[in-house]
Amino acid sequence: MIIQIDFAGDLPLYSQLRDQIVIGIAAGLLKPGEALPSVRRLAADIGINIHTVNKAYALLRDEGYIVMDRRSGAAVAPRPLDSRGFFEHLADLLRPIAAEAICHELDAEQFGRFCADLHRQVRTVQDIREGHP
Amino acid sequence: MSALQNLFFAINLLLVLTMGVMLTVLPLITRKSLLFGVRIPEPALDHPEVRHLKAIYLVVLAVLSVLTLAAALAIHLVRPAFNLIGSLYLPWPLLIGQFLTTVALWRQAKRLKARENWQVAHLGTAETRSSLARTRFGGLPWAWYLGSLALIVLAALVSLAVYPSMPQTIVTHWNAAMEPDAWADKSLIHVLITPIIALVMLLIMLLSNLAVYRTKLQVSLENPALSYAQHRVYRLWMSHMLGFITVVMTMMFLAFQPMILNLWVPSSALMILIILVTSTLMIVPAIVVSVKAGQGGTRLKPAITDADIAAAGLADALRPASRSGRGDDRFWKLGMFYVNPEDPALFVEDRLGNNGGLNYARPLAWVLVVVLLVLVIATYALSTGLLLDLV
Repeated sequence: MIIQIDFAGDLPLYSQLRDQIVIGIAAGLLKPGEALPSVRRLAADIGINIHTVNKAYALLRDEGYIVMDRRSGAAVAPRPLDSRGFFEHLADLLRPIAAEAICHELDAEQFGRFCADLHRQVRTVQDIREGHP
Repeated sequence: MSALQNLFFAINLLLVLTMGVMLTVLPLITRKSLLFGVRIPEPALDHPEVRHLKAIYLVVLAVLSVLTLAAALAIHLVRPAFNLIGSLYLPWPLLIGQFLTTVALWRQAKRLKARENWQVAHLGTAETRSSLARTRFGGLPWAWYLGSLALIVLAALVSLAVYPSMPQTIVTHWNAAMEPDAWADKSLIHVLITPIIALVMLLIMLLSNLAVYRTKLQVSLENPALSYAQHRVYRLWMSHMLGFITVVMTMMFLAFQPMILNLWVPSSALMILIILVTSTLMIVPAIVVSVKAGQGGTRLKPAITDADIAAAGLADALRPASRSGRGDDRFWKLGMFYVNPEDPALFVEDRLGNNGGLNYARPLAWVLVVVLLVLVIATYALSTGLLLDLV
């Protein structure tokens, strides 16, 4: 998949990289078990500090999205992922966003629909790639 | 004036002409979004001032080229014996003129961008599978390099086998009419110097190929699959072109080995023919590939395969919109020299033309520059001495 980092973006570079890899996995652009480039090569190709890529990879490893091996390097984690504690994590992420939505007068149904649309958007990419749109 | 001097004059003209044309067309084969080292947005490409700056470059370089051709003619008419030495030094005023023109136009382009308040995104892109594949050495056209290496080793072995049967005193130098005019005691270094030089050239070519191979992918946001396909084909073309040139160059060097071993001395006409044919075989593919492919393959229209689309991904819709700003200009000193301490890359795409660029924030870049400088100076010192002998 093509990774694209925006140097003028709001998010720090490492979290942009982390987000893109997670989206890539969800959208099927990166397959479970697929090898990822080395930290050094990826940093050189994007044009960012090695530590930035290291930080993103370490974060993805801690979150269980990728596995890292001293010899064979980084790879997308095999399925199924360990989902223990995921709901707590999701709730922590979504609570302030739900609050923002309330401040902007979205009701529960509108907010739910918005989330479902985004979910579908990522899924659609995967479905198209797997040949059943 | 001898036929030989006329021939040297012809070589001179060909050299200056090639160089003049290559330098003059640089803005045409550069990525369209780069104006003398300044990144400009797509809609600005048709701005009259942009066309004006490009036109100035074309005219100045054409004039400089014509002046250099005139200088070559002057040397031929006044001091024909200096024709070959001229070919060593004539390109330099042209190169310096090109440098100064580019810097002046870079300043103009920078001012223009600020005045018009042109905004471009500053993005870093990579393709995971391409990055992964290029970690290893796979994908380089090894056949060309191993073939050249085999020729060099063969030449070295034959030389070593012939060495014991060579007379103690051998001819080391011939005059322009190919009559021996210098002798020396035989030595191993003397018979092995050509294979060693050929080996050094092979390593330099391999390094250039590695640079092409390692240069980062630049993705056009309009059509990521196309830019990925262009880069794929570009890398393939450039690699095979460099490999082919390596083989030709190796054969050119080794063609003189029988002469060094005192086995066979070609006529001066044959020697010049060998040099002419091999130079043409090296220059023509380089020009054709550069002009046809453009920077990073941007002039190519390759068929886009499913793999290209898969590589580019369909995730564009899933990406946050990129912010506009000044772009990456601040890392490009004088619009030509990339200095970015954050970037671990050594080789980067140049900002003008199709040559590789270096990241001068990396110490290894300076090591390479020094090595190249030493090689160039040594070559100049050696050639100048040799050619002055001929005069």
